[in-house]
Amino acid sequence: MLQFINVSKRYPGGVDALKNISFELPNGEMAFLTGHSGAGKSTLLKLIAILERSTQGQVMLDNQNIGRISKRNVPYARRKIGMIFQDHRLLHDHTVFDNVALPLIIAGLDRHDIKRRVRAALDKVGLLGKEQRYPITLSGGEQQRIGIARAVVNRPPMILADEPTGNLDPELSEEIMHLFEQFNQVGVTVLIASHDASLIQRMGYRTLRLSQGEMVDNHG
Amino acid sequence: MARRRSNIQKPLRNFSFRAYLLIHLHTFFASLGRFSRAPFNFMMTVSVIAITLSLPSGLLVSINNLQSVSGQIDLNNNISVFLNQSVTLQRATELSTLLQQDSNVSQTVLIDKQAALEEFRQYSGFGSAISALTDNPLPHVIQITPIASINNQASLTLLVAELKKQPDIQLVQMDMGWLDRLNGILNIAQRGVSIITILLGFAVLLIVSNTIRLELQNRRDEIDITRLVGATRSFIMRPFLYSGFWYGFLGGIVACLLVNLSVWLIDGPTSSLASLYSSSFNLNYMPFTHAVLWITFSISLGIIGSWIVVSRYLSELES
Repeated sequence: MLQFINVSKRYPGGVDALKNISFELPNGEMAFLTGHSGAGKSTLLKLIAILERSTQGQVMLDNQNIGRISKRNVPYARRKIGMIFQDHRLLHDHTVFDNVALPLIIAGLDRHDIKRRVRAALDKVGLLGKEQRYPITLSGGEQQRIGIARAVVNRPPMILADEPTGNLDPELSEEIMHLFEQFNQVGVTVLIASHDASLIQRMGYRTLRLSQGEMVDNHG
Repeated sequence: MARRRSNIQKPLRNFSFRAYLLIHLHTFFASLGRFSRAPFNFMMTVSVIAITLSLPSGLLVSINNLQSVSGQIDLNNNISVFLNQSVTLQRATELSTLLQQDSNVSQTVLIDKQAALEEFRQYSGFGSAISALTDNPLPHVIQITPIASINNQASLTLLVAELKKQPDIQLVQMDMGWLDRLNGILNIAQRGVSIITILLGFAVLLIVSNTIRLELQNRRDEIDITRLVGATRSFIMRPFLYSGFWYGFLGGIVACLLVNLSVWLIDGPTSSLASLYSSSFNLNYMPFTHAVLWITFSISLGIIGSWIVVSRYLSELES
């Protein structure tokens, strides 16, 4: 599903954010990405989301070199990844329903399909019945669930989560992680960036560890 | 995994033209909805656009009105022929009949110098001064109305030149002269309006661009989020282009209303002035086709101004 081949990223000014990174995340696998802040986690995620382009090497997503696709095709490549953020990144002047429906509206589905899929996604994260609420009226954990529902609503083959439990207490974190496991069980490839070492250890999945731009640990 | 693959393809297969239209319709009204949340800012921008555009469109209406005035006068472009002092009344009458026979002349009227003096004495207020004169200083005058078909300058000049050759004629005066000058001035004014239209068109473009730029900054997060979930450039641009459309559309309509309101306000005094000259002249309102053109112009400016700003902004964001 996702493959990095000798990927380096150098920012203008000569800062090497990533040095010669290679790894592969096969279809249907779940893995954690960890490392101290400044280790290159964010840069690695930005390369997958095509917010940045690699200086060297290839980033392959679904057998496509996304480091070299044209600007015109970037939106379509992004639709293959459901992205989840620490700060949720919700539209606060839109209802829960509208937030979750966004990827489907963008993809041009008709209203009937949108309704059905949004309800299914909200049901999966346990927010059915709160469609017409505004995100701000919900708790932090619930807001993160809206973000997750939005990420999975168009059924992408891969989920990318950036510190999804960063602002949540351990109990809620556990619940969110359990949700990711459920998606993984139906075949979705999941990559979660986190620095919560104890949580990662408890979950017992493959861990990719970055340090100063290099991959120092890559075990399953 | 094959199952999952088929799932991602689904959105594309389900893409329908109807859904596409619905997106447009939705964005169309959503952009209006956003304005309703900040009506004051919206009305301010619309007013600035309207006032800016009402200047060139108002000038154009004024010129059109002046042209229609000069058009009405055009119909009686008389030539006054002043005869020599020595010419007798009999000779003048002969000459008048002779001129009448010219193929370019539709009518001649002889103004006898004695009658002219009497008239002058009566109306000028110099009655006693004129009585003191021993002889009549006025010449006989023949007023010629050329035939209606001889409207162009060249044949008129030819007629005048022919008249000037006659030994009995001292002076030939065309009442047309000032009309030509007026038309000349109107031509310059028209050119001026074109220049003002271009300049103020740029001003409208800048007003819209600046407003949209502020809107972009306010909705930065929204743009980032929609980009992250796979929105295309045109999807992101669409609401802003609709904003530009609304600014231009409403600005154009209000501009036309302002101009016609001004015409209505000026029309009353104009008619009473015209009635003093025993004319039933009325000001013309902006023709409907002109209004449509101005509104189209304004809409184009709105959309172009918005497009420039948004596409620049997105180009900076794209990696």
